[in-house]
Parts: sequence; C-alpha cells; structure tokens
Amino acid sequence: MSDEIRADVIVVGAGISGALAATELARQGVKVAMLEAGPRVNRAEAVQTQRQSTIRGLPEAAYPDVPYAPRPQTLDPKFYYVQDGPENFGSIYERRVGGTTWHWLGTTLRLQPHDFKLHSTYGVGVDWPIAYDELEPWYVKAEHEIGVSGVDSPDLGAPRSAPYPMPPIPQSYLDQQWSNAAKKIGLRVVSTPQGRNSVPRDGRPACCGNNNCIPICPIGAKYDGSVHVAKAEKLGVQIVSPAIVRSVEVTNSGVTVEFLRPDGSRNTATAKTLVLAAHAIETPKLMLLSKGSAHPRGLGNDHDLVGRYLMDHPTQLSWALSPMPVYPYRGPLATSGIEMLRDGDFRRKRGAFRIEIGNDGWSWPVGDQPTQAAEQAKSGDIGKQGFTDLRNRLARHVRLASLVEPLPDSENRVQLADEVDAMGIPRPRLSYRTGDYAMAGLRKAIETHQRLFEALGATEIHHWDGPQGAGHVMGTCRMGSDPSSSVVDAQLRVHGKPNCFVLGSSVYPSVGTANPTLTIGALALRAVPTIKASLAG
Amino acid sequence: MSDIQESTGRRRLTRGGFLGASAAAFGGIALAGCGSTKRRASHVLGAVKTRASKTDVDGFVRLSQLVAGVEKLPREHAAAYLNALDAAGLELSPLHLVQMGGFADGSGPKTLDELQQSAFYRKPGARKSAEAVASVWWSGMVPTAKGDKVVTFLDALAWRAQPWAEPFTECLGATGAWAKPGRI
Repeated sequence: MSDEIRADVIVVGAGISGALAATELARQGVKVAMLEAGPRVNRAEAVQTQRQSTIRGLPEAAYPDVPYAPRPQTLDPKFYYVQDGPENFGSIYERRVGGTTWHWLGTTLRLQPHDFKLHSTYGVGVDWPIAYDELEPWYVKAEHEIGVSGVDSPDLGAPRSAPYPMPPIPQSYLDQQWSNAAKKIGLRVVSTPQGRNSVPRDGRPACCGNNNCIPICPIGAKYDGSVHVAKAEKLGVQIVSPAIVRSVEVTNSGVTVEFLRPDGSRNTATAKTLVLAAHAIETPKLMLLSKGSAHPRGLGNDHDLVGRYLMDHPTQLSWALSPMPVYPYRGPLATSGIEMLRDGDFRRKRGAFRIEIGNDGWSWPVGDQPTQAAEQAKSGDIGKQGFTDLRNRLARHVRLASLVEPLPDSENRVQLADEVDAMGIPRPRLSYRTGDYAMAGLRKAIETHQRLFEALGATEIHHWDGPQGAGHVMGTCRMGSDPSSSVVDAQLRVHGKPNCFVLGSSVYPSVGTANPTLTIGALALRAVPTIKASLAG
Repeated sequence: MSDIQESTGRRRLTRGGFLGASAAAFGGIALAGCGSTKRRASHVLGAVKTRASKTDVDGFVRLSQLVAGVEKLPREHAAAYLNALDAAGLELSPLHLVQMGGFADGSGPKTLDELQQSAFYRKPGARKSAEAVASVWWSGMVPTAKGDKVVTFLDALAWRAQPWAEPFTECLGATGAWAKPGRI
C-alpha cells in the first residue's frame, strides 16, 4: 500500500487542537489532511472493552493497545516511556482519532490573568508572550465550539466577555454537603464549568449522569475531539488513520511528511504548511526525529529547547468517610471545586492549586465499587450485615484532589530513547522531577484537605503519600518571543519556520492551575488566521 | 502512606487509576450506555463450562445467599462462580463447603450465624472459602491463574449496595438527578 497525500495544510494528530484547527481551516476553504497514528474509536465497543476490564477506572481502560501506535500505561510507567528519573512521569495520553479528550474529565476552566504573567507578577517562572485579554475572545469561541455548561458569575478569576453557551451542570448533592463544610473554614465551593451538555446541543444529548467521564462518556454528552474530527470530515478534510508519522522536513517552499502504515509501508504527504498537534510527548519526539537538511538538529531545535520544560499538575489525592450519607457515584465525576486558592502573593514561594471535589467516591484511590466489595468480603465482613456495611460505607465516600502548579524546569524533558517501538521508532525518554515549588503546594493542599475533612466531620482520612499525575502533559515546545529561549512564537509558529505550527499544551510556558483543554482549544483557534495566512506567503 | 495503601501495596498512579488485579481480556457482552436495567439478567460474559452438577450448583446458591447476604441472586452466574472457585486452588473449595455443609440437599445452615458456628466451618480454609464466595458474587469477578476475570459487570451485587446510583456507564436519569439526596 502506498499513499500520496497532497494538501494545503497537513495536520499531524487528530486530537482536539488538530481537529479544531482543521475544521476552522476547512470552513475557510483550505484543503486539509489530518494524519493520526492511532485507530478510530467506536464508542459502544469502547464501553464494552471497559466493562470487560478488571481495572475499569483507568483512563485507558476503554482503549485497547495497538502495537503500531503504543501509548503510556498507568500501572506500568515504563511500558512506553523510558523513564530516566529522578521520578517517574505518571501522566498518560492517547494515540487515536479524537485523542486524549476521549478520557478527559471535561473541566473547562480558563487560566487567570496572572497565570500569563507569573514572572512579572510574582518573580518566579516565566511570562507568556500573550496576555489574558488577547486570548479571551478565543476562550469564548472555544467554549462555543466545545459546548461548555457553566455559571457566568462569579467568573472564577477569569473575566468574561460573553456568557456560557449552556446553563450549568447541576452540582451534586455531595457538593452541597461540601459547600456547607467549606463555609465553616472560609472556603467556597463553586460550580465547575464543563465541556458536557446540560441540554441537548450540537447533535449530542444532555448528560444523564453515567459517572463514567473517565474513561469514556457512553452517550457522547461530554465533548471529545471526535466531535470536530467528524465536522472536519464533513467539510472535506481527509483523515488518514492509522498513519504513523516518522519524520517531517520543513522548508520555506513546503513540507514533506513521511509516514508509515501499520504494515510498515512508507508513504509521503506534502503541503505548503505543517501543523504539529500530537500532544506534548509525541510532538517534540517527532520534532527531534526530524533531522533533515533544513533542520539538522531537529525541527525547531536550534537551541536545544525542543522537549524541555515538561510539566504536569502534580495532584494531591485525599479521601475519607463522611459522617452522613452523601450519595456519591452519581453524575459527572466532578461538578464542583474550590477555585479561590488559584492566585495570590503566596505564588512567590509555592504553587497555587485548585481543589476538585469528586463525585466518584473512592474509585480513584481504592478502586471501583465491585473491587471495593471484593476487598471487604475478603476481610471477612460478609453476609447480610456485611452487605449493609458495604452500602453504608459506599454512601459516605468522599474524595478531594488538588491540582498543583509547578514551575517550568529545563531538566524536565522529552528526548529520544535508544529503545524503539514495534515500528522501529524511538520511544520517548523522560526526565522528570516534581520540584520544590510544587511540593510546597502539595503540602499546603494536604493541610487544606485535612481542614475540609475536619469541617465535614469526616473519619478514616487518607492523604496519598506523594503526587499523582493529573493526566495533563504540558510544556516541551514552549511559546515565547525570544528564539533562544522558546520553540514557537506567540502565533505558535516554530521560530524561523513561517509555515510550521505547533498546537496543544506543549506550547505552554507555564501552566497555572486550570485543566488545560479549554486553553488548548482557544490557542488552536487563535492560531488559525496565521496558519491560513502562511499559505499566501 | 495510609493504612489502605500499605495493605494493598499501591503505587504512584495517574488520575482515575488504581491498582486492581491485572487486566485480562474476556468474552463479549451486550450493553448500551444508557440502557434499561431490565436487560441486566441476560448479561453473562463468556461461555461457561459447568463441571459441578445441578445439585451442587443449587447448593452453592443456598450457601451464596448466606455469605453474600442477598436472597435473590442472579443464578445464571452460579456455575461460572463455582467452577472458577473450584479451580482457584483454595485450601478448601466451596464445592466441599456445599457438600460438607448440607447445602446440596438443603439440610444445611439457614443463617450465616448457623454456618459460622457449624463444625465444618472450623475446618482449615472454610472461612476463606466462604469469603471468596461472597467476593465473587459482590464483584462479578473470579480469580484465575492469569489474574481476575470478569464474569458479569452489571450483575455484580455491589451495584445493589448503592440503590441511590446506577452501575457506572449506565444512565442515572434526567440531567441533574444527582443533585437530590439518594436513598439507602
């Protein structure tokens, strides 16, 4: 099999950023082809796969491995990543059509103004080359494209120029109990804006509370990248899947993309402009692999910056038993949070955080309800009394998770490993450490969780020892004005390559505390006019 | 590290992750994300080879009602559970409990207390065997040489322990149904 693909724009990666950009470009008459390493997802089959798994709460539980496009696994941090230490990097992603949004939570918080000016405001980290005000109109557009349900006021520290497209997803009964407890210690629980339908919209149903946003929304009420892949396809965008991109060559006159099919056959795609949208591990990996005559050190890597500043939101996980039934395991996995801890002068010394209130009981730290029931039975608490005990405990499970802000660290990086995957392509080698700034934030999160649990009157309080991965892979192709300290400019163009763009969370210079997907979407949409303009050059 | 972590040896995880038994691939199931719960009884995963006799299986159900604490069991899974536990290498197979305890002919204990006070329950491995029986009914999963295996997802009795909710992947109801208090 041999394919020859020609387009105005080649997009590598069919996740949310690539699909949004491809759709918008196609709407403007641009001929686009999207190359995706992984397969397509059939939603019903994916739910089936999850149910057959014994580890059903894992983000990847619904998605079988494919040998030609391996991806990291939660329980085996060295399955795909080559971990170089000093810590294992714990967050994972998907390689398939629709991307990692298949198993995102759906939280669509905006970054706050100070998140863009961390260094000039607090003297730490780095500023973005753009300000909040410049991105705000694109946040509005992203909220409409994704379909966000939210409360317009308060604005959660991110001023709004337009209302949310849909009314909020109702807060859970459990959230209401947390709200009462939080008030006792001066904290406020607020509704979380979410990329899921509170009313039928855009051909998708309203959320019916499957409590399964991770790993997959069974009914498609939660947005995922496949929504815009389908829109792009209807507009004539060519989706090429599976197509494992091996290298790219970018010159001012055009781009050549070499890709493999799972059978090993080599193929080529050519275009005027290239958009790399393969998330924050695969994008830098591909750029480092692409050592052509036009970029002998790797694409955009003249200053050895590609792959550096890898970040996550190190997460403090805590769980306990409420004194009264709060009826968890219903609704979206999270409908509320505490957002008032995301900014302040303390950021000079430690990472900020937001607290996510879980509707998923103890699933994350302990396992799903059948798994918990099995453990209880094995402890000897069986029979009618045991079953009653199980019921009374499940009804009182509460869980908090705080997503903490790290500082960018150039030694946290993605490189090419000597080890190769089944296609003969080097696997990503990761160096990673949480860092003192984030560790201080994690300690503060534990302290705050403890106060919240005590205000609730909770017992059996547990704080996980050490940070969890949030599944937020960020950094690695940082955005900036200076080519000697960044990979892409404020328009997301690779420095010195006017026809090559990077989309996705890899361009984040710093990460604040907002779950990254909405900002990914806003940045992708903002880049579209410049991508289109590159075709005229 | 918390007591729970110590007891299960969990390690660093990512969001949504927990350390369960190793994953395995299983037979196909019928499902729908937003389907009626009335279909659940037909959701039997994989083909089941019945090694135990019908009498044994009937006795196993009687034993199971006591240890699982649930009167109305999804009996279609009984043979799969019994056969899997019989092959699991327990010190004392539930089949022996069934036969020694008089469950096969219906003459055995009628309550969990009676079972736990019976002479045969003091035999080595009897208590662990009874707990394993409760475990498979509650979880819908059985132990195998290659790790745990799912027999049924929707018929796991754990779901019945949360009458305020549905098994995850199933619709709870109208948007916002989760805002109201549940019932126990």
